[in-house]
Amino acid sequence: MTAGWSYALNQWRQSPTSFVRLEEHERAFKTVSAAGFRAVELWAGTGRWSNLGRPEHLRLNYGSAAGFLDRLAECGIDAVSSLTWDPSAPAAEEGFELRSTSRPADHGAILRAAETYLELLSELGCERIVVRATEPAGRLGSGFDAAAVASVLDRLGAAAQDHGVRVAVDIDCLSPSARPTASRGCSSSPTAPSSTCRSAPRISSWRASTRSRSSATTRPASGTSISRTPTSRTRKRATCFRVRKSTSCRGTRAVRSNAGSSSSGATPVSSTLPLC
Amino acid sequence: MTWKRWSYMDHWITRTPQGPRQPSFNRKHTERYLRQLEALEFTGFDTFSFALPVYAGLYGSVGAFERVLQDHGFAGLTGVFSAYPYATDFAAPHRRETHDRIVADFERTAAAVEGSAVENVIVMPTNTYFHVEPVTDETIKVTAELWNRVGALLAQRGLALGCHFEFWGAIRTEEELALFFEHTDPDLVGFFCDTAQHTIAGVDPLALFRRYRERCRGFHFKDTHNVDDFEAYRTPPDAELMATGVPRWFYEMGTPGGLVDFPALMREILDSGFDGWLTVEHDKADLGGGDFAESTAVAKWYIDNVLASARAGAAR
Amino acid sequence: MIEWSYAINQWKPSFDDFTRRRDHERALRVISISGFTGVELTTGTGRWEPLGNPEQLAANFGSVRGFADFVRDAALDRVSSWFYDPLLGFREDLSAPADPADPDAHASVRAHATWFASALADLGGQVLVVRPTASAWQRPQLDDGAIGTIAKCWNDVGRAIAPLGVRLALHFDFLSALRPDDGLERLIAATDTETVGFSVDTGEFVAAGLDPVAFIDRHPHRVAHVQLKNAAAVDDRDEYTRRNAEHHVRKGGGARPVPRWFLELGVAPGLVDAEAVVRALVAHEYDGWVTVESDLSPHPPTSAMLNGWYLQHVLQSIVEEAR
Repeated sequence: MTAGWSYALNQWRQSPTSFVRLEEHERAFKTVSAAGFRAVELWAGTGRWSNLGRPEHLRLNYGSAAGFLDRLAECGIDAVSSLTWDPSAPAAEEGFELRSTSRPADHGAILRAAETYLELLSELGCERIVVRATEPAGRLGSGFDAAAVASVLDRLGAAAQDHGVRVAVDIDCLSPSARPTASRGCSSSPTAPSSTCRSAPRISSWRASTRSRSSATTRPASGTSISRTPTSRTRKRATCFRVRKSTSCRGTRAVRSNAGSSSSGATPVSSTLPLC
Repeated sequence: MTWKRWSYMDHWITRTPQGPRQPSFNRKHTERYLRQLEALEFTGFDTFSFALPVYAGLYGSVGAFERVLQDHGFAGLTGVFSAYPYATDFAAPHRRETHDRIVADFERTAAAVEGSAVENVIVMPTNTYFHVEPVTDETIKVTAELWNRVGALLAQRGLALGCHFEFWGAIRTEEELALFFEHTDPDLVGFFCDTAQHTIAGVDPLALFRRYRERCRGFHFKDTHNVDDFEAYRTPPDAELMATGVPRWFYEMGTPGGLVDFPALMREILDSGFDGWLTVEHDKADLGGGDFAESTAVAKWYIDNVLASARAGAAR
Repeated sequence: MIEWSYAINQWKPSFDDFTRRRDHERALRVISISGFTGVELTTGTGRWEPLGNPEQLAANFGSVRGFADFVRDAALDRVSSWFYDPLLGFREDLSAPADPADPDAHASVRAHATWFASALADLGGQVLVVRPTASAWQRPQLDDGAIGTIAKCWNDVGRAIAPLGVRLALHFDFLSALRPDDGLERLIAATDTETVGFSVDTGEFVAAGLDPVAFIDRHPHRVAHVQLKNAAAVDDRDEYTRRNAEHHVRKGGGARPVPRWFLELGVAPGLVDAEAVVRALVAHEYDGWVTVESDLSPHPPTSAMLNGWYLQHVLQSIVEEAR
């Protein structure tokens, strides 16, 4: 896979009833294409009005995955680059359960739910599923379990590889993990109380758990890195981390991460971590 | 007599720095929303069951949100709406194997509003038509079984169940409605009259109210400009937003081309002795450049300046 | 007695918007249901300004009185007032902009003011609100001679429209040429106390660094009209002197920039103490219209309802307590 530019479609969904009709999709696809992008990113959702976010609704609206690709092609879009999915978001099609990646008892349901998406992505020729690592810190409270999260992400990575899809782990500014300096930024954030940030486990311990887990298994696909641009080594892995630049935190700071370098030998890369 | 019990169904999109969003976007926008409803003198507030955790998150609890409503002149939360538009393995009222799960959902809803001013729990009794087809007497009777159970559960908690039928649902004709009500307990399963939905389905809401007055729990006052005479109701993927040729089904009261005779309905309501909430609903008012704030204001204008005088024709 | 009206100007975002009757009907209904009893019009010209002048009213509603019926059908009592800016020309008679500081323009100003006042009388309105002179960047120096010329223009207009039962109210704004060198006070002193009144636009006063309450206390008998709106910022950098300030400062926000100069009543970070303004009016037994205005609102129906809420829940009680 060569690097390319894609545009996320989620900005067009501004209210529950917006961006549902196919003519609205068409206008967005053409806009993306006219702006010079040749691929789009989908985002998972629930319900009949999330017709680009649920595999069964996408097929119902476009006839099939191939029908959707045809429509994209007619609008000047060559590919679906990726799909973002939050396993902790309840979906009517999955019984509206509140699942947690930190809770091992939920892992089976998470993997079953992922399978629905992976099948679609395989049909679409999409090579990447972007998975939100955990629910927000505020919802988790003290329930964050880095090892459990790492475990389910590893299993997701393996399952994805069976479909020719790679998992990119998405960490956002509400995630329970934070670097030690996080409280500085969090103190001014209305959505993440400083106490939560201070007490939250750190991303480094999480990475360690993931590496530890992967090294304890014989599964060759597992491994972690923080990377926006896959290197030749990271490209081989089924799981990598995508770290999102925060839009709601007051500050960010550039860090040089050594994640993944010890066990995987991946080249350290610069990234930008939110302060909370 | 001026009708005092006007409530507002919690559809609203407001303009925020991040584009059009629901007012629960944050407390500031919720406050602006409630002030506008208060300026129009609505005194009831109906919302969705899925919005309860949102408001609880915003204010700390459902009770705390209700106190905010009361600070704005509302009686409190007055109704909660729940729906399963698509059939899933977890929720399909015409399939008995899903009933336990649905009943459990309403246990949670009832618990969430315990101690509040909520009077009605309003439901879409069925999934979308094309997920139920073929609609038979049996599917309707199985559906009736479910809502008898839910109605009994809610009654034990002091709540009334109102069944709100969609033009695209699997109970939509007069005959289907009659069969459903025949197989439900009138003390447990109420009728909730959405004036636009029935009109689109080709059923006169006024006639329905006359027929089911004794079990009527409330109304959604909204208008439409179209009758579904091209089987949009059974056309996948979705009749409400995706119908060919009809980008917008629902309108506020008082627009040119509106098909619902609201003055006649108002007279009938007054004559009947009905004393529940009359709810203004603006479902998807933003379609085609519409605006929830403006639609709500002109609808309330219609209530105060047209329906108020229509009362004079009432027999009582 | 104070009567409450709402300015229609916020509903006109662009030259070709707000032209259809449906739009006018819905706007008037929003004003009515929000708790106001009158509407203030703003001058305009041409086919896409159906509410802009008497000729357009007649073309669109059959006659001026036809428009009065249209207003009453929306459950409003009447048109309260009309805002007239003589520095706008009219396509209806191909008249050029008329500057009150130019003696040669006085006849045109008087004729157009009378045109509007006559229509206002038919509409049941009581106040012609006018922009007394150009912006400061256009006329940076108003010496006493220029003030005298402007005063003469409005004295003539005041005398001309008084027999129609319409009061004249000179409206000061924060870009006005009256702002430097105490121009507003000099104009007050130079004009006829009987026939020339003033409009206190609270948002404009505060944006200009003036205190509207102090003005009311100082000149209670010259207050002929009030425009009540909130201000978000003070132009304390003299940006009003900037060329084309209407675009760069009022709309563009100036150097800071200010996202909105004017806000709804009672909202943060507003600087206008609307309660104090109404208390001052009540204390001086003001008898006339207070027009709530939200020009350049990003969302007119919401602004009208939020201002209606403030009227119903805050301001009205101040008036009632005084009765």
